[in-house]
Amino acid sequence: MNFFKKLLDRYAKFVSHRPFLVLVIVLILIVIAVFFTQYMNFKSSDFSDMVPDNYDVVKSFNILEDTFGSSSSIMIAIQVDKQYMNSNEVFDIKDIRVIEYEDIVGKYLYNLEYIENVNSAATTFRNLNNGILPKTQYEINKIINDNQQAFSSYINSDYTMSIINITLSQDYTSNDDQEIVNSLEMVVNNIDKPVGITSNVAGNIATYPIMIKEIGPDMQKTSMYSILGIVIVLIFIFIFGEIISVIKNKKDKKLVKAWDVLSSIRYGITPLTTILIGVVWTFGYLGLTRMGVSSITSGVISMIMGIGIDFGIQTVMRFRLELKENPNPEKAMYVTMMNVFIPMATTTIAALIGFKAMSMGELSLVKELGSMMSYGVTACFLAAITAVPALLVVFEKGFMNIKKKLIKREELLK
Amino acid sequence: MSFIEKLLKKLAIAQNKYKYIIFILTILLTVFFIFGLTKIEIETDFSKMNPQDLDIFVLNDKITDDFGGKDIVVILFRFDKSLDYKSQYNDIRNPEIINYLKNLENEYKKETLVDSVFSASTYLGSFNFDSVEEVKSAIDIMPGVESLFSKDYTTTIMYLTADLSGSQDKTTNLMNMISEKLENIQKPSGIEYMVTGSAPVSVTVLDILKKDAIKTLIIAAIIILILLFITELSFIRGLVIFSPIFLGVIWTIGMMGWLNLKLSVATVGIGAMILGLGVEYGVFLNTRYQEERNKGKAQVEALKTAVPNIGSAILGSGLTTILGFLALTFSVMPMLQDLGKSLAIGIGFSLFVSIFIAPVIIILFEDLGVLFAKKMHEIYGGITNKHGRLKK
Repeated sequence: MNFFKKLLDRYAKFVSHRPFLVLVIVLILIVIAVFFTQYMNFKSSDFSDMVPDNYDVVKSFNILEDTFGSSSSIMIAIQVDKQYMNSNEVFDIKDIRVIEYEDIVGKYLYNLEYIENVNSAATTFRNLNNGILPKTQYEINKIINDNQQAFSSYINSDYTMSIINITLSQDYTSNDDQEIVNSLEMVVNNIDKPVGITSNVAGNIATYPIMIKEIGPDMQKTSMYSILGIVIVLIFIFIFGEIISVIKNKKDKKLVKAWDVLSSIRYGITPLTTILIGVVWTFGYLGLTRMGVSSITSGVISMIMGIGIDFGIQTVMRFRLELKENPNPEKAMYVTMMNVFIPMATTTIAALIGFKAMSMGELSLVKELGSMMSYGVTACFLAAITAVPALLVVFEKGFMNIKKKLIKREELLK
Repeated sequence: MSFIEKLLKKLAIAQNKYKYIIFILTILLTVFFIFGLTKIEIETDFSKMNPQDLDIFVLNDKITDDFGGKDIVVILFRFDKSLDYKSQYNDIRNPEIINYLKNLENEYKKETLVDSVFSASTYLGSFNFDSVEEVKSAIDIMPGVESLFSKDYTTTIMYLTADLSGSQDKTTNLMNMISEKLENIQKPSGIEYMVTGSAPVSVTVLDILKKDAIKTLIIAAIIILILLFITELSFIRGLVIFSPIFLGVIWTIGMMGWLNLKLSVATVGIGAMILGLGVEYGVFLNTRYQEERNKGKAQVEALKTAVPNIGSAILGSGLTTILGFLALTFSVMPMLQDLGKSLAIGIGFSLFVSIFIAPVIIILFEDLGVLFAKKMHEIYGGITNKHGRLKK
């Protein structure tokens, strides 16, 4: 027996004969992982995060941001609300009330942190009119007509929208996105605006907090669908097959048959533990390493589940096969582990090669996706060789004991 | 034996009987998918990667439509730090630089690809300056122009906007045109320029995506091949397992081309992922087939055992993997939807190839080996045995 076989032999004996100890270790690792998941964070990703820093275009981009402040845009968009179009309220964005509103908003904005400069139709009026805001609609229309080029950046051609452009200071970093958007929203919501218009925070920066908010629910949704699909397949593989074989078996009595069908659920549930534990361990590790989840990497849960469930299925299928040969759960599990470990390890290594190759690309998000998938597949493999065999042995022993009692009872009743 | 296993057993018989027809059909299908490969496009429009239905993206799109500037190019002009610029200028607000910006701006404005050009010369271009002091005075009476200069007056910027609509050709043409003009128009000595912004980043991402797609696939292929050579202890057997899976990768990327699924930041590693995930199917099937052959069974008998046994097992595991990936199509992120579809197609093809094509490739390689051995024995009968190997 070579070294690896000896090692495998020892491990197979350990996991099949000490299932409770294995489960305690798994549980401890789960608790640690759950603790670290609190450090897991979601992050936004813009193009500068995707391209490595050694490219000229990124170097120039960094110089641009260092010299002129953030190049990401943030603005307040003021639009004519179409539901008021036939009333006496604002229906033209050049309306003096809108210009005054923009002026007030602009003044408030200067009080906020990270705001370097505010430009709008109101500031343009002040620049062109000796620092004074026009007092009549006639004056406003005249100044706009005489300086159309100057206003084209702030008022659109059909006069339904106007924007207040905000330049952020050099102190701003992408970590401040949420704070900036929140404070801008507060200004927009708290300043009385003329009836007939809506105002909203817009621009690239405004999308980041929204995208971060979307990541969590999106992950939940895709992983729920993933689990649902997997459960359907598991029902077909394990529970349907069991029901058919129970129906075909004419020896057992009704109570025993019913128990066999009910207990077949364990074969459906046990493979699921592979992916559930695998995902928790992966996320714990991501929290420990402070690796943020972005919109692209948010799909890892579904992908890990799809790949990781194979390990669970393989272990359960082989265990059931071995149980037919050898009804002793511990012995059956020993043989199972001896047979499935190497194919599963080979599969894991092959998958890791694929994911590692992704990590060798240059795009940072692809690297992250490859790394996260590697962690996920490894975690599922580890769960399939620890928690799954231990649970199978424990369940099998328990279910066998109950079945024995039921058979005895059926015999007594007879 | 289950229904699926019975079907797969029939398939195994058909594979042995119609191996040449299946092989020719495989070649025809591969040619079809190779045509698809030529259609594959690369997604460089970052806005398409976001969920366009969300209010914020609808609003941003409206702003872009109304105010222009979907794609931005920023050109930074600054003193060349490698030179002793102080001997020539100490302030970028120099009349010669303003004139240079004006010439450049006029040249760019002539181009149909460019929507708008904006720099300090947009405001100052109509003046005839003789000194830095005159430029400074003009800037003082024009609020807003100041923001186009850095605080230490060593750098100034020019903005160009265009609507490239995610077109690779338009983006590349725009960048080539910008570089050409920058090179052709005589710039003041001691000044250097740098180009950045969403359009140049798109071109860079395009280059990286092309490189990464090939690089990651080649790395994965080489490592997996080496792993197969080592585990199978045979080059031929390694190739027999590898070739159907590689076909699966070609089919997947070809199908992406036919379905107009663009190669994006999310899907760039698809080849490497499919290779890594699909290789197990081939390993299981080949191992089982060899196991049966080693028992002395004929090709068809070995196939009749290996295809139903392994086929039904990998169908179950492949199906769960496909469902896991398909769940991504419910994501709000278009990028993840594409990734889910592409991976599901990839695993689907890997399964199909492993169950329908790989057994044929295995027996054809085996036949080829026997034929080769016979020929070797015929030609070098004195020194080779009936297996074509050198006599001991």
